[in-house]
Amino acid sequence: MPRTLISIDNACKTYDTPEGGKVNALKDINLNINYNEFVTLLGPSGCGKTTLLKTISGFESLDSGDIKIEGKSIINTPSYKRPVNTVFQNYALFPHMSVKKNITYGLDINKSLDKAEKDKKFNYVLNLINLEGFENRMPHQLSGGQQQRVALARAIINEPKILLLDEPLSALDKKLRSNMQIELKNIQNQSGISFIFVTHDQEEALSMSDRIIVMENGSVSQEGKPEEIYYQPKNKFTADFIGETNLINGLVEEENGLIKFKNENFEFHLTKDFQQYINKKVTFSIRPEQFFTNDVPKESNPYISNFNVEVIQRLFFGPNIKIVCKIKNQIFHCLLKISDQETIKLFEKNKKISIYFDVTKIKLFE
Amino acid sequence: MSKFYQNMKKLFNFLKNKFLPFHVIIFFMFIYIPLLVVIFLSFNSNVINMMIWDGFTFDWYKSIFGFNTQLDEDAVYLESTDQLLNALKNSIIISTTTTIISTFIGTCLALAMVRYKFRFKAFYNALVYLPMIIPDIVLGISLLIYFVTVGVKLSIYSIIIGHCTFLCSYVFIVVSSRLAGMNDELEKASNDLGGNEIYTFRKITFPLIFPGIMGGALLSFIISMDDLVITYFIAGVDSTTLPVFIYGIMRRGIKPEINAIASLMIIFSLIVAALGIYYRSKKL
Ligand SMILES: Nc1ncnc2c1ncn2[C@@H]1O[C@H](COP(=O)(O)OP(=O)(O)O)[C@@H](O)[C@H]1O
Ligand SMILES: [Mg+2]
Repeated sequence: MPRTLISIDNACKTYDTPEGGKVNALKDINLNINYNEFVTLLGPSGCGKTTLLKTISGFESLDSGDIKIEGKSIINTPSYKRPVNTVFQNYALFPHMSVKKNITYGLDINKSLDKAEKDKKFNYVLNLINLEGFENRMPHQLSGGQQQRVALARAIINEPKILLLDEPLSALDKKLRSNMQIELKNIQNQSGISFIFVTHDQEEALSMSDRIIVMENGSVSQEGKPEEIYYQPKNKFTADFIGETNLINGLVEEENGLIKFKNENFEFHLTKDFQQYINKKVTFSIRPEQFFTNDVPKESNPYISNFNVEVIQRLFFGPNIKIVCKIKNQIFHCLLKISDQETIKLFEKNKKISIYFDVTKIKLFE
Repeated sequence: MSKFYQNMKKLFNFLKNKFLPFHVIIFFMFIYIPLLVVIFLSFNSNVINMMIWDGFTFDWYKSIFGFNTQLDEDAVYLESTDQLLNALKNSIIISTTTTIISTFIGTCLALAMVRYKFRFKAFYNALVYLPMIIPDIVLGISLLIYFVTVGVKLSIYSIIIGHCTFLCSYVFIVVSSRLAGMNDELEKASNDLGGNEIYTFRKITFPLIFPGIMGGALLSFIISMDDLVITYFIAGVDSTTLPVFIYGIMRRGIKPEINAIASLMIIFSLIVAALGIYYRSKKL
């Protein structure tokens, strides 16, 4: 049973805009974060991720609601007394201090440590971030990735209960980014600190998190393990935002005891599990990689359905091939696995092919 | 059309390559030749007409500092250097005091204006800029009227108060531009790492704006040192400053000694200005 470290209850925050209007940046947010958990806040820009972090770190106050760490409310605690540290998006390294001074900044405030202890901690984090030999450099003498790691070290040396990371990787190039993703994950494992990681990059979120909190417009749209979020999206927003998906509007109807999804371009049969949607307008969602082309005999799986489509575009990625195809006016994206050159020929432009999918795996949203 | 454009481009390139260096040289000559002439003439031994070179001498400098020279009494302004030194002393006292006061007030103002939000901020901001925009002569007269009305005796102190009224603005501008250029996330980061407001100011804000404060201080020192117009109105009888003193002796005709005084002031100003530039250019 995971123990709760921080709980956010009914958090609301409204900003007054300079134009005189109001922005509901947080609308009744409820969240629990456990010890030693890597939680990601994922959502499009402007959905309130930074605001939520700021209320935890103490740079913004809540209009209503409460934030508790280990059961104690912290909303009246000034930010410098909270057991929370932040890695800022632009690192915010102190430009007039060396790497060492930057990293030990938090320790130097706290007079209770003697020099030996301080050095021990410093060497430990320096080793953790892999920057031995750089302690006397100034921040402007470091590369972006190195600065990023100093910012991280500066925060974790204080052994906070929670580390907040606001899009820490967004300024790095792709290669460095994926290296840092692995390093961050390792550091989180080793240090045992709970991370609240903010990103608008869904791949990053999927690969790193223990749990993802998808935010939309100031509210939590869905939370869960990465695979749950990916395969069991609860609503159209999550389905659309996480990964690529085909979203197709239509109507569910019952005909002769059979349930059908239908729109002006095509129709197919649904299983009994979709009964609740009968006579409702729905959006049907299927991921590109959930299509396949090898003919599976109906007998082996009665829930396989198929579309006869025409190829309009073919993009070769190596292990995969992406096919844009259509039935009448309905466009589909399919991602198919391929393993030899011959197969590619089957998907030439204007070819008519059949694509198959498992009806039990699709999602319908009202 | 494109032909025309290309020709124009060629012409501009030609002008740029051939004439830009000349332009730069002429620009700097225009500014510095008068100063160099003054310094040059301060060594001219011609007593009658200082524009005609007559040989090298240190006499004018000697005369300022009260050493014996072979000069005619008519040729120099100063019966004694006491007056000059007294004016210099006043100037230094006034500039130093003014600098300290206006640097402190200007820096506090800048911190408040840049870092905090409050009502009517734009209005206060404009108010701070105002003393710089008002013509010196208007400021001088209004200060005089104010001091007389309130009953402040004209003295060194009235000059100090007068100078502070507009030098705070200069310091404010220099320091606030430095502050605005400083990422306020740095202060948040310090706060986040456990530093309270005072600690953060000591360790982060102050060291980072220090070059700006130094620059502002030197700027206000030099402005206070050579202000004539405002000081002229609010100086008391025994509180003559160096510029007011020089203005006074010049009314007795222009004598070569003025070149020596001017040269010394130029060199002094250059040193202060160089220091100021050095501090302001320090990277964040
Ligand atoms: N200081 C502020 N004043 C007014 N509106 C703000 C302020 N900060 C953020 N907002 C608004 O609040 C919303 C959420 O912002 P933010 O939390 O920064 O989003 P995110 O980090 O997810 O991109 C946005 O609509 C933004 O415009
Ligand atoms: Mg943000």
